[in-house]
Amino acid sequence: MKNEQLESLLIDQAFGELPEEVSALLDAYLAQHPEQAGEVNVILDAVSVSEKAVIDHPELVATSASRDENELDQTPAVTVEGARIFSLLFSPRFGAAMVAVLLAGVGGFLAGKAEDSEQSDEPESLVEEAASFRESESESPWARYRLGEDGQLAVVPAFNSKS
Amino acid sequence: MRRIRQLFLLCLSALGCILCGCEPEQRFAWSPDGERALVRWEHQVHLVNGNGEVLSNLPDSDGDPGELMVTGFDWFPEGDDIVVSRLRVVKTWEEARPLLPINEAEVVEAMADHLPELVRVTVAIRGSEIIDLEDLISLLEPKRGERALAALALAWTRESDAIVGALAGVTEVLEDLKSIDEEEESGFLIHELVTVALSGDRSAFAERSVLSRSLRGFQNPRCSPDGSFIAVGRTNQGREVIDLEVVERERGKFHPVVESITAAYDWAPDGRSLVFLSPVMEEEKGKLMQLERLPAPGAESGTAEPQRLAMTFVPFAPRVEVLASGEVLFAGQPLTLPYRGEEPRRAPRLFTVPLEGGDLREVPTEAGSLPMDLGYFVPSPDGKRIAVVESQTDALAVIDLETGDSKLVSSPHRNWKCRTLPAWRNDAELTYAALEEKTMGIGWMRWEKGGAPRSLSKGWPAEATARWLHFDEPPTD
Repeated sequence: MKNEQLESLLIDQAFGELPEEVSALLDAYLAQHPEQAGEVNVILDAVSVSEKAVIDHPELVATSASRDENELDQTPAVTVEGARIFSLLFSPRFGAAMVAVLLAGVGGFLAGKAEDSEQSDEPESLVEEAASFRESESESPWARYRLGEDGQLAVVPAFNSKS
Repeated sequence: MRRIRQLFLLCLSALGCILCGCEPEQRFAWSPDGERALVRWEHQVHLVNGNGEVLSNLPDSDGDPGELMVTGFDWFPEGDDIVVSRLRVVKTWEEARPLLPINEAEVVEAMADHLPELVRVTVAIRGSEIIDLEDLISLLEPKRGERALAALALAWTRESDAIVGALAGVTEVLEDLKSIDEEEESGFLIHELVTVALSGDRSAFAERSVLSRSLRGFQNPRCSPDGSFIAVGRTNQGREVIDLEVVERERGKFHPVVESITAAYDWAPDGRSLVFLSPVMEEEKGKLMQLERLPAPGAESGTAEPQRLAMTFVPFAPRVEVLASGEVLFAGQPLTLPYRGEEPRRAPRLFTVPLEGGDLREVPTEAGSLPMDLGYFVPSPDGKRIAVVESQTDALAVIDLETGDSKLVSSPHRNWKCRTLPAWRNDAELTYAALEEKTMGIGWMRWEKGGAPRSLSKGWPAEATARWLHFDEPPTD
């Protein structure tokens, strides 16, 4: 199997995009070709790095949930998606592009400037939306809060007020 | 007031949070015709007219022992009567006992007789779980606790040495009890639900009728649209959830509706059902909540399962309002899992859902026009606008629920925080607490679109509104 094919299959399997039977065939192939273990590990490491980057900076990623946020009538108050963690975090196209760039040797934090310009519109628009939200908040009369991992609101000091 | 504060160390009522003034709370309510208002100064209620002139005070004492403190109120739809929830602070058990339902009094006395042994066994088995008095009470009487609390207070007056011996090693509980004893601050809190009639010309409070007295708290009384029922929350010691009950206005008979819900509930416009928010998981301030609807007692025969209208994540005070249109208004924090603690990308939003169930509609507000602490909003009588405040600033805005347009009515002032819910006098006029620009005193202000705010509290004593806003002293360097 060519490296490009292996990369594509491993990425799809990591995203949960691979049909079950194909995934089983891939596992069987890898078991029969231990010489490709090194390449497999490099690919899986890159997927892990990109996953962490997206968790740390979700504003980079267009997810299916956030795209649906524009469809107000259909937006539930809470969006909770299933156990397929990558489907929560990755647009398959953008996620794949990120992993591809990482595999090309560009590691570390990406500031939303994906090399594939066709896919830069979604993350940039989300960054812009987040930025405009923050800018609006700087003019907002209300206090600012963090939403902690325990679900509690914590006040962020500094708000726009008369002295 | 120090005496009352000390008593709260013993009472540990969920009402303590309300009375401590930590968040915006109801301090005034207009009659349905907007000609009269109930205004709470500290814990006493006053009747005022449309110009803010005080007409009458509801006495803080009556023929029975103890001082009275109002905790909540609502108007009946005809505007001639009101319902009040209040506390009666009674010094001794001998004074309190005759006022209580006989079954409550007997349980308290039976527990008090054996309390040292009960405490000793509880400490022996579960002492590691007891950090403070609240923990001890919740172990002595799980779920409710008000009778255990009264029993502890009674046993303390009779055999404090035995209690001290039973609490050996539980330092914080001992210190709490001893400090109360040293200050001679012990007592008993009796909760009351009372209807009060107004005089014929509505210029004074007239006869009062006690619907119920109990060691268990009443909170947030809300009259049904036809005035024949009152929905009221029954508190649970040490727990944030309440049990919702409905009491018949004429007979004073209580009907349970649902247990373990939040303090957010409201009547449907036809009075045939109640809508409320209940936590999906109660443990430790569960934030994931269900918006549900149940038939009111008498509306349908037999028991019914709640109808689920929506699920929402509420990391702030939960609130539900049923609008005149029959839409249910609530707030929620849009959230995508997994997430890490941060400022969320999307701010909390207001949503409506039809009372009968159906699609959610998000109120289309612009970014930054709503506070994140979105638990304090009050709809106009016609349900077309809301006034919204938050606990961390003294800002106030009016939001159009159809268009999402917002209007900042009261700008924030540095270090000032709101502690008062606004109230609509009618569809056009809003009243709220704010700093008066000229005097920088806290005033009761009246606003309508296109007009300048004006004060309704001219001539009131300063202490009347002293707690309506809170000033955070800046830290000294």
